[in-house]
Amino acid sequence: MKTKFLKELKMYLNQYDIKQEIVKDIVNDHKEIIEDAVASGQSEEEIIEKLGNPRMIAKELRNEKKNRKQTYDETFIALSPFIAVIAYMLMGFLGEMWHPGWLVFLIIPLTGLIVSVRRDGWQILLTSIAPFIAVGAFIIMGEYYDLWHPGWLVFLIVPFVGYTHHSDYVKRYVSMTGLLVSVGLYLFIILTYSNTEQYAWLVFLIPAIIGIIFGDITFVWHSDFEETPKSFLMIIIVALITFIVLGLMTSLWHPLWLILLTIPVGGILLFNENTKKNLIGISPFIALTAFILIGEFVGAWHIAWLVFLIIPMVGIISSANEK
Amino acid sequence: MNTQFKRGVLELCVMKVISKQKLSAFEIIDLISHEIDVNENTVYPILRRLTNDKYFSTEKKRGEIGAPRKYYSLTKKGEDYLFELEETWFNFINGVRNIMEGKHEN
Repeated sequence: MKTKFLKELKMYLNQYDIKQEIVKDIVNDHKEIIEDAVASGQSEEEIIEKLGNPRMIAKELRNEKKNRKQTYDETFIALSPFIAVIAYMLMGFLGEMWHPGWLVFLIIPLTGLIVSVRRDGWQILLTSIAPFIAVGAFIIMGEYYDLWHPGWLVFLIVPFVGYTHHSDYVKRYVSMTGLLVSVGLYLFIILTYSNTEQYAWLVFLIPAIIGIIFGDITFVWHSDFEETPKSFLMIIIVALITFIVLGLMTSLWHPLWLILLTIPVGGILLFNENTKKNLIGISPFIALTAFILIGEFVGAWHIAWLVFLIIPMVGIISSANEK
Repeated sequence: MNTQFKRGVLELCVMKVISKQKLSAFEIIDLISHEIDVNENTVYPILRRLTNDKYFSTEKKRGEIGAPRKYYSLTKKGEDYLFELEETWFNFINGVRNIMEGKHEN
């Protein structure tokens, strides 16, 4: 009863775009109230009735979002699409760098992410921006040094950084070492022996087995809230395997790497219960995919950037609906 | 009873019980629920709003049992506001009583 009430309260609060630390505080306050009531001899049902409906509580608390630090942070986020467009136009017209100059558009989701998680500590920040660092490094390595393969290995920094969150010291370092050893072995095999790509990937079974032993990888196919982190790990693994297998079969590492965008998109959809926030969050990835496909297959890099306008448009429409 | 009206009265009651002593959220809800039906009106949002408006201050204090709890107390600003609310309330109920008892002036 208590768990259901707190879970519902959290869900409704998240619908109102209230800052996570405030949501946590409110849920914690309610947990304390219920525990105190039970300690004083009341039943959970009794105190929950007195507390009221979670939906009503959330509705009345929604004005708290006004307490968010809006000024500089939101101005900065709002300005980022314009800065990106100006930088992209300058690089395109002055330096003919339509591609990979489009990478500057990554500053839009990146700005939003940095602003929203910077107070949660460097580890969370690093985990959040790791997919973007990986995409940037991968495109630059591929475009300038033709290292699409094995440049994709850079995406493994995402689970690597993720492992730094492991509370268990032994599990953390064993998982990180397992991943590093498998990358080292993979590179050693493909660089030393020719035509070994189709077998060399088997070394990645090492971190996979470690993950299964430590319970980081479980084969759960429903997206229950408690199982979210594990589901996210599954998305990472499935995306990587699909990318590697299709890449090895077709050698089309670019633009096949777009498959890897399912990782940040999956993360946004799984970790955020707010539909409007989800739309805003995934819009840069939809725009990026459309941009690459138009640029690559139609050759229209110079006008393809227009698809990035969907990002501020989605943001504006979502904000307007909220009012 | 009209929800808006009840909410206003509830706000006054919450302030009044806290003016007597430092109380935890549960103690406030429990005290008030003995006198008023609170299940349609959520007390907690009132507590939170009045704390944000600096009428209440909070401190973590260890109770008789369990982990430290958040305790609410009235600030100077809260005391002034309560004084205003009480004055308005007593004027209001005196006026209503006069009307109900037929003591109002023609």
